[in-house]
Amino acid sequence: MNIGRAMMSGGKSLIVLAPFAIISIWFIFTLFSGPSPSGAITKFFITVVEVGELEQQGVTFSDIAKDLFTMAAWINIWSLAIVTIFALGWSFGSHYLNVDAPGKAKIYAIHWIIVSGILIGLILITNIYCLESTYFRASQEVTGSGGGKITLILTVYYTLAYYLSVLLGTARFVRSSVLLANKLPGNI
Amino acid sequence: MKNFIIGIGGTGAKCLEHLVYCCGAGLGPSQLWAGIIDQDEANGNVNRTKILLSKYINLRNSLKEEGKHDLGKDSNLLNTLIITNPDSVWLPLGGANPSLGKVINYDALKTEVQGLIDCLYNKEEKSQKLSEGFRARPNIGAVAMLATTSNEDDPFWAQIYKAVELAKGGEEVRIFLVSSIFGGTGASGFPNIARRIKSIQQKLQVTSNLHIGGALMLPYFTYEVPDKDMESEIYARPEEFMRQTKGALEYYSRLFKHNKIFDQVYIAGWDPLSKITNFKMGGNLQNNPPFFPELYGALGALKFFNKDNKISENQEVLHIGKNPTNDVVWSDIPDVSDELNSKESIAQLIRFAFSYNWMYGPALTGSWTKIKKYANENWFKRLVYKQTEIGHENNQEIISLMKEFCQDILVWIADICRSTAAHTDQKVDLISSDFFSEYKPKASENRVILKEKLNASEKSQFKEIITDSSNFKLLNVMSNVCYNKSIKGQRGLGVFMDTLFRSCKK
Amino acid sequence: MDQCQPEFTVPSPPENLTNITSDIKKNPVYVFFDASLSMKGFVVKQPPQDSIYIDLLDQLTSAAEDLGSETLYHKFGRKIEPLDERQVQRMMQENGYYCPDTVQKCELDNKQTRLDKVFSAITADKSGTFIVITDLFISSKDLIGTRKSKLTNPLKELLKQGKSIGILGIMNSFNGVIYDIPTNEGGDITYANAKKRPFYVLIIGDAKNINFVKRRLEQDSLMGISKEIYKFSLITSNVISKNLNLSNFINEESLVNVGDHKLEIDDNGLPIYRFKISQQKKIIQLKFKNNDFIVPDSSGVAEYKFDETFWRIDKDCKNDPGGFRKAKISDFSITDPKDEYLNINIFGKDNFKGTGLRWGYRYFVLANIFTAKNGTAAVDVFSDWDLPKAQAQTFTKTEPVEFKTLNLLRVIKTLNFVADEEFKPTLLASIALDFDLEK
Repeated sequence: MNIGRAMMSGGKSLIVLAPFAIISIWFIFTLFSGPSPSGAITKFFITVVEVGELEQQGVTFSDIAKDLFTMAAWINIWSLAIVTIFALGWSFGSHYLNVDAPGKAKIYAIHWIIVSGILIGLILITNIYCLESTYFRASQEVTGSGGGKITLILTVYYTLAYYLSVLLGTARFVRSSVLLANKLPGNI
Repeated sequence: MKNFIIGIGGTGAKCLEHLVYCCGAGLGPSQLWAGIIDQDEANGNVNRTKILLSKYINLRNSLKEEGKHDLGKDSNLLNTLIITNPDSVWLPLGGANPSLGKVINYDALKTEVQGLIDCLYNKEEKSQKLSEGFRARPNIGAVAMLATTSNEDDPFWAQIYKAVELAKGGEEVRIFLVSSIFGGTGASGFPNIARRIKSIQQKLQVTSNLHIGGALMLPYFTYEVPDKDMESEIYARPEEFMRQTKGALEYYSRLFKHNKIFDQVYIAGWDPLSKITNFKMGGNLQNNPPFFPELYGALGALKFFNKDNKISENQEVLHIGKNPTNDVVWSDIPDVSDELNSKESIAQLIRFAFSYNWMYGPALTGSWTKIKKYANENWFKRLVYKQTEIGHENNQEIISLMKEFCQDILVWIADICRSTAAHTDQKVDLISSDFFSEYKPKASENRVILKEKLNASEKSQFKEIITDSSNFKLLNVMSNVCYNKSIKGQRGLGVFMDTLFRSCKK
Repeated sequence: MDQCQPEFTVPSPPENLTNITSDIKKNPVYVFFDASLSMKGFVVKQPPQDSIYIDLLDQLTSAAEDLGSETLYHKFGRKIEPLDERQVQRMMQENGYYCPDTVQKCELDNKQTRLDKVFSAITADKSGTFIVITDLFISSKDLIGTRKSKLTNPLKELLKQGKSIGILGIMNSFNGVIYDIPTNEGGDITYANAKKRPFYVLIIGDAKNINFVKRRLEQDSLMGISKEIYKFSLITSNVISKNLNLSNFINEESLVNVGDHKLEIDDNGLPIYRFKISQQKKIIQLKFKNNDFIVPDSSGVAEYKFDETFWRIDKDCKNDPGGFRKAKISDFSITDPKDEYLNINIFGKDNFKGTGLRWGYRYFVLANIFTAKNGTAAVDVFSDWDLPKAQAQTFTKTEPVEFKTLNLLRVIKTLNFVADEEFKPTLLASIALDFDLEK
């Protein structure tokens, strides 16, 4: 199999993934650098914690903000890693799917759906694990609905990143297996 | 450069058949005129080659239809522009079914001349009807060849005259003859046609730019003649082939020594001899399978025509042979030139034929209603949908012609591999054909039956079709089809056909 | 763990419990004999019935002599009269209950057992110990209105000072007449066929003195006596005998359900437990033996209350610039009395999760445990011997051999009520917990 083409696909995938990754990496660095008192991120996180309960404990948001930001940063790191692996993996691996005859590509839609489903599942698991398990101390501060909000936003964001990157990165002869990918011009 | 090839006799026709396929693979020159000389007009082998020539020309013309389809000038697929006369076969003794006696007008000869003829030919030979060839009697054939004139008005000889005049005009002309050294038409025609061309050259006072080459096939097959009903018949006796060859080689040795007619002569033989199981004396029943050594004759011609082949001042005799074992492998096929790798090109053609016949051809066949389900696929969008209206009747005809041609290729190569080795200790290990065809050795026609459809397992064996351990799969073909760029200047169906052909190159 | 600690103050241990008199001979003892005619039957023997009344009185006087700096004897009925030694002896004989006055005067005298006057007399010397021997057969009219106030008001004074009332009841042989049994019509009847009825020794004073007398009696005439015959209960406004901090009853073993832990006592005597605990554990439990701090035989503590708070800080408190954050939650622990133990479940109300405690942090809890309400043990102890007024006539008609005490429970409840009125929450213990909450 033409390794060069597979690498090109990976490259195209990376190009599309790059803006999402840049935003994600900027976000991660911002989170690691710690909360700012009036930043938008701080305002958002205030909405996802049980501030009343904190007050009962004699604790303010700023006391837990650093932990919270660190947790959010790690969720993003793992989600980005998963998306990158899956996007590159699909783009590269699509060259090895046995689409050896006309009409066969659409059969691999099942494979794509499964791979995409696994990706979404992993992102959800990552979110849920971080927000519900005892891995991060800050997970105790996030409310159920707040956790749901975070999970939804991140899942949508990273799934979109994955989808757009595989849209372009999938091998040409497999494009019929990816939703709407066959609408792309043939020479891309 | 203008190129002319004349296949003389049955072997010549068969070599020409191989040559046409090689031209389809891109091994041939840019232009080639092809003609066949055989007294046995209905000969099955000659007919087969005639039909193949016609298919090739028809297909190529369809894919070079101005304004509609164009394979592109750089495409190797059907690269060679092959031209023939409307009837590509020239009968030395045209017309009704003459005998030797009639040809030389025996009855009108003086007695002493008759006496000389009686010494040279027996009664059966003088009365033998010649419409089914010279039956391995080069002595008869030679008389027949010499008895006819090289009439400039004859369509066949007009081409030869034209060739010589082109040379006089300053264009390089190469004429190649191919025949067997044994047998009838070939053995007699090879030197005499060459001499005839030389005399035209001298007559038109052409001293340069004209080169004559030839391929002489030494015995490479044999057969068993049934004793019953053959006692009084005149036919080519295989046990005499070696003796005839010996005599012919002695003759050519003296000829080449004293008379430089040929610039290059290619000699090829075979051992052990391939076996023909259903002997026929001549006519349309004589439809012998293609044999591997005939490919040598074709490749010798293509090498002669190749622009990189520098014709020396001295006469050259080149010998083509294979490895000493009984296994015929790809490395036994010589390259046409440093740039044209015969094995790669032929392998590419075979893969193309397979891919087209079972994978892509069926997808492109039918009405638009049936075909449009592929409309979203990259290869279709890029190479077909944007290029032409695939469902149109004319396009469907071209699709069908190509499918036929591809089937012919597959049958040809499968037949070579099977028939060359049948009933011998040889093994022709060029392709695997069991998974896509069935071989019937005793059949005179349709020895190789291609399967109508292949299942997934059979399709997956595509990677083994060429026995070179290359692991080149249909997936590779599909990937190449989708990624290979189309060449500038291509149009219509030419875009897809050429792209598919290029995609079959490892 | 390092020694980071929040700032807090701990309430001082209760004074009453700290001022326990060590010299029991310091103050006088007053003995009051109920001289009503109904008491005569106790001194009249009727073999084979055993009577310990006289023996008990003997030991009682002996104990009183040993207890106080001096012992002053009295008898009471309608009025209180002092007794000399010879007259004291006569209280153990039939003629001690002889009324020399007129029949009418004697009858009047007999009908009145002016316990209220005895209680009033008690207030005259608040430092003394008072022993009252009586059948406690108090009519209903003495338990309402002014009469009741006269009974309860002196007691309030006493209980306010931390005094206690020990009630010793003995089912004794009786050979006499029981007077003033009320009828349903409003009159009263007598009953002469009882073979047994209870008499009571009320000991009023410091709990320690009460126990002294009780122990003396139990070592002698009351030794081996079953609970059906001998009953004791202590009524006090403060049932806590010791503050656990001061009495050093808080030790390493007091903290259970926690695993490895260390106990340190800070400069102010506050015990601080330091440990690590998993959030799965739900509660932290302290365990104390009731006998270590509850006045023996008292009604015990029915309810406890907590004055507590907790702080939170990062595990590495030196790196937490915000310091300890004090929680607003202040009511998170509960007590769980079980048999003879008091179990205190810190965070027992909602367990860790309910209080919003987060693993990964360090917590400092200061729990001050107070008594909130005394128990009502005495009522249960004497319920068998109670004869409510409404049942008196009916009960008498059954010709019982063993008679009961009229309005006994009303009296005890009244005494309990007074004790409850004077109840003040007593600090049982102040304990600190310093722990890392882990997953």
